Amino acid sequence: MDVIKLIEEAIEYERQAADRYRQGAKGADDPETRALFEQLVRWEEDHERILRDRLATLKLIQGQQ
Amino acid sequence: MAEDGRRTVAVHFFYLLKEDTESLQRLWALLGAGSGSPRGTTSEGLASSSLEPEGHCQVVHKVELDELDLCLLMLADMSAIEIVYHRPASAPLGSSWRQVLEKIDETRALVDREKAPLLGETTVLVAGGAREADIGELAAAVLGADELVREADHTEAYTTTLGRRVPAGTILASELEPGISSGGFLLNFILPGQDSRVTSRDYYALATGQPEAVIACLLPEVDAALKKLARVTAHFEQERLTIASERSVVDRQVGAVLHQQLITETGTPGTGRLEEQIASLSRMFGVLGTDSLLVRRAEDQLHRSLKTLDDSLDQLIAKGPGARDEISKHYHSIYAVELEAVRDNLADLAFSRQSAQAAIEVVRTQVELLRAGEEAAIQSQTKELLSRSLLLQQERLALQVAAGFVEFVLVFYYVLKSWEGIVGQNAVEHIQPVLRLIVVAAMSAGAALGTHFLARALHRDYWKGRGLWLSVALLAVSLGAMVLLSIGIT
Repeated sequence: MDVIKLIEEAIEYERQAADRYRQGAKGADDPETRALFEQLVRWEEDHERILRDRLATLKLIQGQQ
Repeated sequence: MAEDGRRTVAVHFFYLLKEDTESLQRLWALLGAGSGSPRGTTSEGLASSSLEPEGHCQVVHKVELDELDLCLLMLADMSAIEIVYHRPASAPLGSSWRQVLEKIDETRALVDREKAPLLGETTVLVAGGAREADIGELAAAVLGADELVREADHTEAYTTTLGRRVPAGTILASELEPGISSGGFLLNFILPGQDSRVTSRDYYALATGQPEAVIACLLPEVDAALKKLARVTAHFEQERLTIASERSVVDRQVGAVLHQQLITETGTPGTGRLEEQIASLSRMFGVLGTDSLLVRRAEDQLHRSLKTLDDSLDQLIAKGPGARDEISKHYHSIYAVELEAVRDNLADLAFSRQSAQAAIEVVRTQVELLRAGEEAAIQSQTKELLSRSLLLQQERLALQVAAGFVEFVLVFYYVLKSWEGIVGQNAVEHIQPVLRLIVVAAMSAGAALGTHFLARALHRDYWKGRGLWLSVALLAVSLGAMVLLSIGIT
């Protein structure tokens, strides 16, 4: 499988996960649970950022080939 | 210098992936709207065809506003949005730079909110034909890094430490190629704590009477090449870290296998166990092969990226004896170290591959030795079995002969007695003894041989053997002779 396609899919998964946690944060009854979900959202967003960065570099490298 | 009494005071570049036209159009529209464009620089204003130019740097779109110009650049691998800030010719340089830096920060905050997928940013402070030393200090002060040290001032420290160095703060100065803007200087600021290889924002100061040619394409090409090199290097560095960890695991396993061979030399590990080791070593060898391929690719990419940087630096920076060029020297030394590290990795991988191959050979030889020993033992056992079988066959043959002889004697006796019983003893005695012996012996032999051949035919389920039919014929002939002789007597 093409590594670029794989990373694009991974980015989509990270986005979906962040959305799910965002929903969780919205539906959370107590502040502690909400804070936990918000932390998870930040994690997933961070993962997405790292993957996007890696994707851009790979595209730059492939553009050179 | 602009013709309307304005001077270019600073330039800020936002770099994006060239193929990411969607983000580029969105950012272009955002910056146009944020700059209060009277004509509205919307994404519709950008024809898709203009985003796919061929060749090197091209300014594919330009919008001139009151205080700034927006340019869209297409570079070799990236696209860039360039914001060129102007000031009245009479305004002091230092305060103009400070004001522009504030505006740049506002624009950056706007872009940051949009989460634009930037590959990097660069701010260039532009001065007229001022002296390099003057603008260096002024720019450093404006950037809030007064403690920046000129590269030339700590050359010795640089050469002694060599290798990878994250400067505490450095100004690199290079003379511009005289042909492009009547000379001048380009300064590159490496701020304290900033890794000069991996950075998201770079700072330059440009001192030249005619900055347009430099900021339009020459500088962005160098800058983009440096940004790409930084990214590519960081990517391969990560990859090499993974590879180095894989290599160390493989080395440990190969060492363990070889050590095990040594300590179990006196024992007899089964061939199955050794074959498992060969399979495991072969897998490791495969991993190292793939890793070598990746590192070789990294070497090739770095080499090509450095070549691109060299080409773009050649057009911007003055070369030749006496020309000062700290920028090229600095980045060359850094990436030469990276390239050297990649080559070292290749050598290490080759060594590990050789070790794995040697381990495979050792285990394979042991398997062959073990198999040769097993084959010799099997051959010896087979030989012994064959000898026993031969002995048994000989004993069986002797028993068969003895049994056949006993059968012959018994049949002989009973045939003779039966004949005498049927035709009378006196009548039989009238027959010549030799003739009597021949007939009775023939019948006995026929019976003994017939039994033998009948048993063999039953065993093999084969009824066309000559022996069986000759025995039957012998029986029939001897019986016929007995009948004829008996009739002749009577």
